[in-house]
Amino acid sequence: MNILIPYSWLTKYLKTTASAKKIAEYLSLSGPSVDTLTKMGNEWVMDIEVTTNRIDMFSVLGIARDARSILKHRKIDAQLIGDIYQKTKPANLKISNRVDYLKTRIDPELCPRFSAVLIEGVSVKQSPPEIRRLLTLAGHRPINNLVDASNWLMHAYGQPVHVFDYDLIEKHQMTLRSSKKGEKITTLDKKTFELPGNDIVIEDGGRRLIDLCGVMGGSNSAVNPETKNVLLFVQNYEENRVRQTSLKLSQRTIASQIFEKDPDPEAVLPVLFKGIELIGKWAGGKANHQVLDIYQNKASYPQIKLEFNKMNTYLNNQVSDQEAKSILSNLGFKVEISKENILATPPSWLANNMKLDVDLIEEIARIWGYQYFESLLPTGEIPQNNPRQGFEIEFGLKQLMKSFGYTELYSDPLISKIEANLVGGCKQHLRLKNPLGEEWEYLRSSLLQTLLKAVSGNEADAPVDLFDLSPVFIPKLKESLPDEIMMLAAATHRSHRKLLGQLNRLMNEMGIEYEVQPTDVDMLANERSGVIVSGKTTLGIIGQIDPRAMAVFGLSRPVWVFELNAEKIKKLSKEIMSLSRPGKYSSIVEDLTLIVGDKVTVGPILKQIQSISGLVVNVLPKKYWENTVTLGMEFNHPSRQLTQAEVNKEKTKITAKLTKLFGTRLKV
Amino acid sequence: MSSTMKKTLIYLIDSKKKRLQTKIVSVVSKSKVTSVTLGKTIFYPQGGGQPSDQGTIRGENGGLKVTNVVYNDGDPIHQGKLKGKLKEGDAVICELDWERRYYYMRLHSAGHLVHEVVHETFPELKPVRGEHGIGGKQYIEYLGNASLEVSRLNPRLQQLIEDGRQIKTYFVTLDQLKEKAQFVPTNLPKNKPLRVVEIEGFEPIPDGGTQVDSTKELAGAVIAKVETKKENILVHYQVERGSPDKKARRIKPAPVRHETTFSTPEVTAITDKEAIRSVAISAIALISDTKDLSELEDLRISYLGRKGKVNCLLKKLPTFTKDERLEFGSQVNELKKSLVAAIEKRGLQLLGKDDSDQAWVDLTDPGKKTNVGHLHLVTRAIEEITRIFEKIGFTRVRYPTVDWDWYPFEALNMAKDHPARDEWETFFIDKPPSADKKKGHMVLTPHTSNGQVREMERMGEPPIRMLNIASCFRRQQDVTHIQSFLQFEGLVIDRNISISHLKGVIDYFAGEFYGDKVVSRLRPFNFEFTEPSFEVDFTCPNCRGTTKVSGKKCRFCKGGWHEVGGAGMVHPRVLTNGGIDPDEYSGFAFGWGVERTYAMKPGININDIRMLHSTDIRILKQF
Repeated sequence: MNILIPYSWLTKYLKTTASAKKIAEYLSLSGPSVDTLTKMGNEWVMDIEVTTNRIDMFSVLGIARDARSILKHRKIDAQLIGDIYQKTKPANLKISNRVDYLKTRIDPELCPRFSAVLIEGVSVKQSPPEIRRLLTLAGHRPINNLVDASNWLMHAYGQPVHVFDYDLIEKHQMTLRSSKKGEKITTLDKKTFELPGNDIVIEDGGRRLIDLCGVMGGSNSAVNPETKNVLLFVQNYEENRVRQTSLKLSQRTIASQIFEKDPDPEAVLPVLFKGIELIGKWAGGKANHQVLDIYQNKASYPQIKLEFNKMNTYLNNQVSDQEAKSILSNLGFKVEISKENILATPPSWLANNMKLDVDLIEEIARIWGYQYFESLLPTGEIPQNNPRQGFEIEFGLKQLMKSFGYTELYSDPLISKIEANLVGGCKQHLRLKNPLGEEWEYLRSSLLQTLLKAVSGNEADAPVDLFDLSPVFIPKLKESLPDEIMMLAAATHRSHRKLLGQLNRLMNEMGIEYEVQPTDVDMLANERSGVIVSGKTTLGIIGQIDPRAMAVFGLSRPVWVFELNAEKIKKLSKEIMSLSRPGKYSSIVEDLTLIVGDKVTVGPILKQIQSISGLVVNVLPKKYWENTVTLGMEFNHPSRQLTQAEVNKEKTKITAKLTKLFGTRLKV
Repeated sequence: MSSTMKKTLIYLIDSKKKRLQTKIVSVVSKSKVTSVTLGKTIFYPQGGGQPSDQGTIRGENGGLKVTNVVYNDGDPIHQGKLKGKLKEGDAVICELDWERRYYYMRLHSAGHLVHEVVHETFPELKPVRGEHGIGGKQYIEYLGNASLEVSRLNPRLQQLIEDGRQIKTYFVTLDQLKEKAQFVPTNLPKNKPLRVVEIEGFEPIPDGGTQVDSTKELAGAVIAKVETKKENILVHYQVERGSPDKKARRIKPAPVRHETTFSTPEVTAITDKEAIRSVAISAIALISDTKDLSELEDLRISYLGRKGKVNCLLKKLPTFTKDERLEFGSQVNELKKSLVAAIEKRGLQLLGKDDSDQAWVDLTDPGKKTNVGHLHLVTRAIEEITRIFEKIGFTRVRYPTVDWDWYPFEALNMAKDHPARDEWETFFIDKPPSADKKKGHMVLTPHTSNGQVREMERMGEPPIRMLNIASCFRRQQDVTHIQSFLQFEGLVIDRNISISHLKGVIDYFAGEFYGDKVVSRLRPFNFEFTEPSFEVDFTCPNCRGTTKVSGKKCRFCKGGWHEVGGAGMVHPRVLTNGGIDPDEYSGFAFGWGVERTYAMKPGININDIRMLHSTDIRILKQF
C-alpha cells in the first residue's frame, strides 16, 4: 500500500532539522520504503510503501512517528508535535454509549467500536486553500469542507471517517447488521450494488441501507450543498468482512484497505475530537455535548519478554542492552530491563503487530541499522543428506535435446477444458476451483497439451523443433496430492525417421534399452503412434498428432512428438557406461535388400538379425523403397578376420530365417 | 546422397573425367555377363533419362568391356563381357567410351536448356519428365495447356547457346534449395545433400546426371517439334551426333581441370623419354585419385623423395651424351615442376573437401548455417544459481507445486484470514480438503517457501542448507500477468544463525552471480514466516552502484540499487511447525524469482519479464 506525503504536511507533526531527502533516505533504510521523492511545485512529496502489517504507519502521523524514532537514533534532532494521542478529551464533551439524538442497534461482532457525534449548523463550502493544496498533493480530490475533513482525518491519522447528513437518516435510527444476499445499495459515487451477502451495512429507520460499512457511505444520506446538520462517524469493523465485500464488489477504497487491516481502536476518539475541531473551524458547526462511543471489549496489550541471549544470537552480538532499551522506548514501548532480558509493553498502535520476542528484535535491528551488521558466511557443519532427485540427468537430457537442434521453452501448466479432454478426458485432470479464465481451468496431465500450443504459435517459422522438460500433474484417487512427474516432450515439423533417430540417440546416451510398440495413444494418429517401452516399464509415447488435436491447437502442418517420463529415465539410466575394446579385425559391411509385406515393422527384424547371427555387430535400415527395405549390416569377429565367404553364408542364414519369421524375401 | 557417394561417384563431381584408377571391390560372373563393383567410378549408371555409360575396365590380367551400368543404391554395378581375369582388390583403370558419354551428356544438358527456354515463356507448364536418349527418346514432357511454337522457341535456344552460359553442378540441402528455387519436386529426400544443376541465369534444379560446362558445348541443339498427347505436351529436341563437334572442343570448359588428355599407358618404358612420360601419366592420375593428405604425402615421397622416381630418372643422367643430358635434364625438371604443382593443388583440394577447385577461399563468407538448439535462459539461470549455492554446502531439492495448504500457508504462520490465503490471490484445486484437518485444502503453491517445513521434516534435525527451485502460482487480478513463475528458495537453519549470516550468504551470491562490487542492502519489510523480514536490494549490476553509465544516468536502477526480493530470519512458529526448537536453533530464508534475478544481469536487455515466458521461437532462439 502506498501513501503520498507532502513534506509540509509531515512537518505539521515532525519538528526536525532533517531535509525531505534525508528523511526519505533514513526511512527507506530503517522504516517504510520511500519509493519516490518528487518535487511538486515548491513541495517535496514522498511516495511511501507501507507494508500491510504496519497499518499504524499508513498516515502522516504514523510516518512522522517512525521517522522521529529513526532520526533520534541517528542523533538527528526530531520531535513529534500535534500527536492526537497526547490530547485529552475536550472538557465540554460527555462520552456515553447512549445518546438522545441517535437510536442504534449494533452487532459488536461486526463493529468492535462505534462512535459518532452530531454537529449542527454547518455551512457547506470550499475548504481553506492550504488544505485543498495539501489534499491534492496527497492524492485526494477536494470536494467541500465536510468531505475534505473526512479525507484529511483519514490521511493524517490513518482512521477512516464518514460524515452523514443527519437529517437524511430516517427516524434518526441506525441498525448495523449483516447484509442479506441480493440487497441493494447506491453508494456516494452513484454506483448501485447488489450485495453478495454477509456485508456489514447500516439500515435507517425507513428500512433503507444508508452505509456499506468500511467501503463507502450511501448516496441517500450523503452530505450535499443544503446540508445543515451532520453526523460525524468513526468506527472499527470486523476486518475480514470488509475485505470480502470490497473484493467481491471490486470497490477497493482506501477506507476499506485500512479497515481490513484492523487499525488501532484507541485512535477512534482522538480522531473524533479532531474532527469536531476541524468541522467547527472549516464549516462553523457546533458539536452536541453528547458523544456516542460503544466499545465493549477493550483491547489489552500484553507484555513481551526478550532474552538478551536470543537477541545477541540474532544480532551477531552487535547491539548493546542499553541501545535495545532506548530504541524500544523511543518507539513508544513501556520498557523494563534486567540482566537477562527486556520486558516491553507495546503502545496501542503497535499492539496488533508486536507479540513475540522476534517482533522486538526486528524493531531493534531495523532502527539500529541493518547496514551496520557484519556480512559473514555460516561456519557450521555442511548437511550430508542429499535426496538425489536427479537434476543433473534432467540437465543432461536438456543438453541432448539442444544438440539435436531443439529449442527449449517453459510454459504455464494451465490448460482449457477442451485441451484437457484430449488426454483421457478432463476428469483425469486436476481442476482449479478459481481459475482466472476458461483458458486456464485445468492442470496439464501431458506436456503435449502445452507444447503443441507453442508449436501452433510458431507455424510461421516452420520447421521448428521445440522441447519442454517440466512437471505434469496426475490426479490420484482419494485424498492425496497428485503425482507431479517431470516429463520430457519434443515436437517437430520434421520427419518421423528423424524423431525416431533422436529418440534412439537419447536412449543410447542414457544407456537404456528400449523398443517402440505400435499401439493407439490419445492425441496421436491411428497407425502412427506407439509406446516407448523398456523391459516392463513404459517410458513414454511417440507418434504423429491426430487431426482432432490438430484442430484443437490450430495446427495445419503435421507434427511428430514424443513424451518421455523423465523420472523413469532417471531410474533406468546408467551413470557409468561399460567400455569395450574396439575389435582388432576389420568389419565387413554388407547391404541386404528385403522385400517386405504390408506394414511389416523393421524393429523386430533388426533385433532378430542380431540374435540369428552373432557376427552382426550393427544393423540399421538404410533405405526404404516401395515394398523393400535395405539394411546396412556390419559383420565382425572379435578374434579373427572374417572372410567374404563367411559373411555370405551368414547373410544366407539370416535371409532364410527372416523369411520364415516375417515372410520377407530377398530382393535380387 | 551421403558424402561417401560424393567420394565414390566421381561422375557427379567431375563429368569430364574420362579415365580413373581404382580397385575392384567385387566380381560376379553369371553365364556370359560379369558384374563388377568398384571402389569408385566414372561410369554413369542409367537414370534421370540419361542412358548408362560404356567403356572398359582394365586390370593387369584382364579387362571388362562395360556395356551397361546399374545404379544399385549408389554402388554401381558394371556389367559386360569379361576377357581374361579380374579379381577383388585388383588395381584397374577405367576408361569411358567418351564419344558416347559426351553425346548423351550434351543431350542431357540440352534437355535442361530446352526446359529453361520453355519455362521462361510458359511458367504455368509443369514439367513431369525428361528423356535424354534412352531408347532414342529425347523430349521434355509437360502437364498443362499452352500453344508452343517451335519457330519461336528455337531462336531463344540458339541465343542461350551463343551466350556460352556456365553450367554448374553442386550439392545443397533441401532447405537451401527451397531458398533458391521456386520449383522443388515434392518427392526429394529431406535430410541428404542434393545434387543440383544450375544454368547461369536460371534457378537450380535437382539432377543426378552428367552435364557439360557451358552452353557453347551444346552448339547444334535444336527443338525439333512440339507434340500434344492427351493432357500433356512433349517438346522434342535433337543434338547432332558424331564425334564431339569441333566448335565445342575449341571452347573447352572455363575452369581448367587438373586432368590432361591421356593415351593408353604403356606397361614398360621402352625409351627414357617414354619413362618420363610414363612417370608423368601415372603420377598425375594417382595424385588426382588421392583420398586424403597422408596418401598424398606418401605419393610425394615416392615421386619426389630422395629415393623417389624423379631422382631415379636423374641418376640416369650420366648415361647420356652431353646434348641428350641437357634435353633429358630439362624434361625431368619440367616433370618435377608439374608434379610439385599437382601435389600442391591436390593438397588444397583435399583441405577444401571437394567444395572448391580453387586454392583461394573466401573467409569473409558467413559460412553454412549450423543448426543447434537453444537452452532456455531460465535453465541457464537455474544451473548457475545451483552451482553457486552448492559450493557453500546447499542441497538442491524440489518440492510439490500442488501442495496442502499447511505447507505454503498454515505452517508458515499465515493466519487463516490472511489475504494471501483467500480465493482472490491463490489458486485452489477443486477437491475436498484432506482428511487430516491440519493439512487443509489443496492449492497451487504461491511460493517455494512450502519447501521450508517439508525440508525440516525430511532432515529431522539441523544443520539445514536447502535450495528449492520450483514453479509458483499467483492469482493476479490482471490476466495479462504471468500466472506462474520460477522461484529459488534458500533456507539455512543451525545453531547461532544471525542476520549477519543472511547478509553473508546473500552478498556471496550477489558477487558470484553479478560480479565483483555487487553487494546487498537489507530494508525492513514484512512476511508472516520471517521475523525480522527484509526486502533485499543489490548494487545495480549495470552501473555498479554509481548511478551513472558513461556519464549518463543509469536506466536500470533507482539510486544505484535494484530490488531483488524478500528474505528474513525464520519465524519461530515456522521452526516449531517443522519440529525444530526455536530456542536452540535459528535460521534464515530467502525466496526470489529466477526470471527477475536473471533479468537484472547487465546487458541482458530484458525490460519485460514476460519475454522470458514467451513461447515465440524468435525470442527463444536468442537464448
